[in-house]
Amino acid sequence: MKTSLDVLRVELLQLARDRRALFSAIVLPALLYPLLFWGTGALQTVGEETMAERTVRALVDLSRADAETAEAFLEGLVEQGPITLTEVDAAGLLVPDDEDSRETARGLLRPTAQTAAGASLSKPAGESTAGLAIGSGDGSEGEPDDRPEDAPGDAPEESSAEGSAEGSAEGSAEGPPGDDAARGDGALEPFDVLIVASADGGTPDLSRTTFDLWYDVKRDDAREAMGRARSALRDLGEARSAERREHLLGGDPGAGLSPLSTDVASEADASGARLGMWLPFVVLLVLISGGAYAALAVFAGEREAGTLETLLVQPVPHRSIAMGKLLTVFVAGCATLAMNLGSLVVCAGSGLMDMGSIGGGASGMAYGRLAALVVELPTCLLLCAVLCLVCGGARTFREGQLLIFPVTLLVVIPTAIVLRPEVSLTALWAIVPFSGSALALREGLEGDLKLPLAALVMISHLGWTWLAVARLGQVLDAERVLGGGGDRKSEAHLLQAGGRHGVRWGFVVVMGVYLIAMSVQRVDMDLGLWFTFWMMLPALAVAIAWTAPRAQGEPRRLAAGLGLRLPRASHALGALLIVPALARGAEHLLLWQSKVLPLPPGAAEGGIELEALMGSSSPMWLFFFFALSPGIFEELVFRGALLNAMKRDFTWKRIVFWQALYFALVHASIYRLLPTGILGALLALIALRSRSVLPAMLMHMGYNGLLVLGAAEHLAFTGEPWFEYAPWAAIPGLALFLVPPRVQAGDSPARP
Amino acid sequence: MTDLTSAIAIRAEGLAKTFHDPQRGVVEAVKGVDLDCRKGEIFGLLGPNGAGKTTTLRMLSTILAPTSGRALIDGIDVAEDPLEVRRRLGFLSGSTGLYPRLTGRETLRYFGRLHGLEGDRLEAAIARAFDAFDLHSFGDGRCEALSTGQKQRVSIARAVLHDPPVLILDEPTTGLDIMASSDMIQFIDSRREAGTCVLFSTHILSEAERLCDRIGIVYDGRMLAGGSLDELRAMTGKEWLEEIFRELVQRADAGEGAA
Repeated sequence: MKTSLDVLRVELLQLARDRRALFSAIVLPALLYPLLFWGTGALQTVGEETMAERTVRALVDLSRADAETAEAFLEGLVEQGPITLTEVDAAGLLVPDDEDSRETARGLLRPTAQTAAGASLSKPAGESTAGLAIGSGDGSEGEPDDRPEDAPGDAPEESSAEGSAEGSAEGSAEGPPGDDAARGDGALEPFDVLIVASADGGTPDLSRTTFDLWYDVKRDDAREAMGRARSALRDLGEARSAERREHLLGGDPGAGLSPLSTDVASEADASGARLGMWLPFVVLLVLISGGAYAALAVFAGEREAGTLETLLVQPVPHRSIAMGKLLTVFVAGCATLAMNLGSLVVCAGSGLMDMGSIGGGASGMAYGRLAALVVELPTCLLLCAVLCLVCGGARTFREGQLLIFPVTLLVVIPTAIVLRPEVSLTALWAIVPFSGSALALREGLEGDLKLPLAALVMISHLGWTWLAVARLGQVLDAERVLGGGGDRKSEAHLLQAGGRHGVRWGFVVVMGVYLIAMSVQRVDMDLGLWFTFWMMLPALAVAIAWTAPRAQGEPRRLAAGLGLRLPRASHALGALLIVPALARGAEHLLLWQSKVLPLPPGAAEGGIELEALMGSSSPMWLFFFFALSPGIFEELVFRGALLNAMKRDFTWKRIVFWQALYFALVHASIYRLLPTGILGALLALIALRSRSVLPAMLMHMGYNGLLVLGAAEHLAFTGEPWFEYAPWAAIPGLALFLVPPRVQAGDSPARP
Repeated sequence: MTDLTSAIAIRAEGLAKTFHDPQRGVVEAVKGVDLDCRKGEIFGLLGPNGAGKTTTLRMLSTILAPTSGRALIDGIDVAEDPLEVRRRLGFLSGSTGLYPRLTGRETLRYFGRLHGLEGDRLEAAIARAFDAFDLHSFGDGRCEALSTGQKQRVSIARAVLHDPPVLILDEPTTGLDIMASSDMIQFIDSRREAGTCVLFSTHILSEAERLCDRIGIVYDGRMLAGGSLDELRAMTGKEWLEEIFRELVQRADAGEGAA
């Protein structure tokens, strides 16, 4: 322990003198939150204020509306904020959704000197429709502010109203020319909104006035003007409705039915619930960001600097050194976390933060509930141990940085999935690393964490930590650290270039499918599937195989890199024979899983959508997109390019692990995590055994085809009595894999 | 006359190290090295790059476990009690790095504590090292700001702070300028009187010629010959170390070809 503390002290001293570490752990969080909240708050206020104060320019043609409505509307509009109104005759704009009308409206909204001069639609100044009330009257000057443009006589006539509408003063040319005159020559300032009203119906009681608003969404002022016109119309509409109800019924019986809801949850509960939605995440992310740098510095950085070798010949157990380093990472991570939380709390306390949106109640944040963070302490230790393991395995700082990437993914994605509202903490979840403690923290913030479960979470996480620490001593194993002798080539083996290539690209594939393929599929299903399977995946497969690391002087063999080699016929047949058992197994697995992890209501709807899709689609279409295409291209990427890159350095167990993980993650659903993970592992084993991607392709196609077409009831034979016994075919199928793989020139020694 | 066996500080018997490399299969970095090094003796391991010098030194200093054979430091087996061996060992690796953001004094204090020195004993040892290596002018500045020679002086001070009976130095003069490497040679020379056993590797012939009581010539993982310069001369019939080296290497290559 004394040694560990000595190591801790020196490493902390080193970190404290490292400006980068200090900045990212202390200075950044201390400044980030205040700046962030102050900045967004200030921007929002400024934005709202300036937009509300802006004078917008509206073109109006209310000639066909009844005078009373027009006047009331204009009064309302002027109340919304400073506005300049210009009269226009827009009789040509009859059909709102017509391209010609749109063109005309565009011309009116953006007058040039020519169109203004020859505007066919506008009336000569002073000839306004009777009853059209154009607000005017600048209070301070006490005289009408309406003034004609300097432009030729038939230019649109303009009036300005700021604040109050005192009545009609249209058409007068008495106003001083004013600064607007400058606009008369050259390009004219565009109008923000064009308001056209029309009325139908006979008596005033039955008359209906329709308002068409034309605007250009790209312009801020236009959106603001549009918003003002809308809210003026809404106010007017509500007032009219109320008036009419009052008039006809003498009171509105419906008014009493409008609900007045009160949340009975306490302030702390409400605030804790909102905090619980995001704090468990932030804790993990902040810990990773704070601990990662320290872990990189004390392991990879020290290895790179050459100090680790010296440290290993000191008369102290390597385990103690590793513990000291782990403690350093833990202290650094916790310091970052404390700074972040402290800064957050200060922001909340000082009112800098918008409490409603980020988890506070009316009276602020549930500070007391933050005590639930205690449950995260063993998790912090575990996360730091994982970071140490990862960085300890890296030879250089840069390599460590690359490895941190997938770790973040592994920790954050399951946590995100688990933090769904329908999942609650059970004994089973409690022992799942990171997910269990995230759920516990959420329930703690909500105020209903059960103590035995909290204890289970903490104890199980300590157990996981113990396992990780037991491996930590091995990380400092000199054979790994030094790669034996000064032997360059043996060091190259430690780099495991091929394996890391596979891991990195696997991450790229998963993120690519998430970010690109799924967005395209959301826009257009057919196009998305075409794009994903026939463009993106093959391109990725070729890119991975093309860039795969080679030994010096080794030729680039693209087909071999993609696993495209002739397998034994027995392996291909064996893969097909396993399919029915696999499909049956998947059904049972999903049935069992639905008890442990019930489908949320939303997922059931998604299922219905899928069923509808299956019902309405042709068997060919279904087979093509859900069996053939994934069978070929998912295999080409995963069991082809990625597997062959990993095969250079990784043991078969490691390959199967990564294959299962990435294959499960790429399907982006917690409910398919287990089945796809198992399928990925099986396909990887088959590809490894047969040394070819083709049997895996056959199996994948068969499995998907049987499940999808079977579910859509396109396969008559699945109902036959003999099909009940089809899964037994897996036994001879597996036996066929006992046949040794086809050996080709340049093969490395046998794999499983 | 002292008892020879008790005076032996470093002994290696058939020391061998094999690595596994997935691309090249089994790599035999060291194929069986025997050597004895007595107290107060300076032993030089001479060989080209990749000959197995570093691996041998790393096995002797407990960093790597030998695949076969055994090594004793001060009579203690490196595989059986590595901690006890490390207590008696001062080690300077080829790529000696210092913690850039620690000062020389802090570095010495850290490693002194790892060696179990504390309190007054530790401070006294540091003061001695400051005098012996003349660290006073720069010993309290951060190591990242030191020159290569100054860094090497701090490193050496760190390696001998606990006054070890055995000193293993991996290419101690590589990368040093003339003054610094001359300082280093003087330091190694001075250990002879102190009764320390110094084992160091080098590929600079003149250094070995001047400094070593005995020289071991390592080539392709094997010790081709070991002995004093006179013994090597007698063995090969050549006068200069360079010629001796060439002769031994040629004999080894010829022998391998014949086999």
